[in-house]
Amino acid sequence: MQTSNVEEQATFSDDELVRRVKKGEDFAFSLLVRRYQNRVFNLVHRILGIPEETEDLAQEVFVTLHRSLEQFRGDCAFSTWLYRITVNLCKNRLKYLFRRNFHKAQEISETAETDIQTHVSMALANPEQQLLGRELETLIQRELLALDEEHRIILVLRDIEHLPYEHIAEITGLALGTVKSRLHRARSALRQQMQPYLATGA
Amino acid sequence: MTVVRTTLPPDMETEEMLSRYLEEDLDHDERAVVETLLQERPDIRAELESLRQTLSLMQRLPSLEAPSDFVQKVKRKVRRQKRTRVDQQPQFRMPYEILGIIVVILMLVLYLLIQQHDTSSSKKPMPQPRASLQPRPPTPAASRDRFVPKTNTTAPTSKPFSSPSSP
Repeated sequence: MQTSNVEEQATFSDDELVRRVKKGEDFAFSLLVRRYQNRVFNLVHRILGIPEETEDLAQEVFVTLHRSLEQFRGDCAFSTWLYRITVNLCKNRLKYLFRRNFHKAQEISETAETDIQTHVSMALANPEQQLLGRELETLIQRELLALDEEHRIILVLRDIEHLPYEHIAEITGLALGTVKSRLHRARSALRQQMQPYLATGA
Repeated sequence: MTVVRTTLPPDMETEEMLSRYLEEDLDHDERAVVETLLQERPDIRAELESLRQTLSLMQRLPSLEAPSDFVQKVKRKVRRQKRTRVDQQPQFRMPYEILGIIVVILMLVLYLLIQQHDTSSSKKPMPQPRASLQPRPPTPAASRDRFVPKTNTTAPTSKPFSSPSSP
């Protein structure tokens, strides 16, 4: 397929691209990967929390997608199905890494640890500052990793990926009520972990 | 007459209530209870504020981008996996239905052969045991010989039992 047509084809819906991939059209697969690569990359990184593993697992997600696309019947949105593959592969990888004691929290340098409250205060005082600094990101990532795996996954899907509850229920295979209660518990746990760094005025 | 609740439902914890309050996932009565609590309880106000701050920080986490050659890497892996799958596939593949029919036919043929063998073997006379393998039935002479005392074969005597008195 000509490169000049790629932009035109980018307007295709997911379903159309899936149909074309099933027919063996290579460009459609490239478009699907390009469309979702950053979302998958982010999701993997936030759930796994190991930068060295992120890219490899994100690639594996799309390889698995390509292999099992024939089984996709369109019962749910394509993105939901892709997220389900991602979450399942993340869970498997976490188990694998846990067995090998590879999984460990990211370290924050001692100097940065003492300054962290200042970083947090500054970030909260400047809500217009959209992105957090690296140290603050590392802190939140570390606290996320300290959460139970199931809680972390739901928290990431809801509060970072901003997915609707119904999609999260489909991705995780949990009942809607369970998703909600787990999310509230996860938020509560994270808030308690973050408490020492937060300056609430009360 | 509508009854307005003044306390939270017994199964709802404060943290859950606050999280749902931020999500605007409370019904009218529950919301009224939370707002009353927030006015009266500074500790719950502080809890809500720290929850709000935590969520705000989470939502401002930078978004990562996949490397620019990500698509190429994925496609390379897909191609490699396809090749591996092709290599691992047997050269000749037979559908299960045909394979099943062949197995049934083979079993039928085997059954018929066994049946035929049984029938032919029942019509034949019982095979005589081979002479070399079977003990020979004792002949009258042999049975008589068994009781004959051994004699010296090196010096044959013409009349071993002849009495000295006989000629």
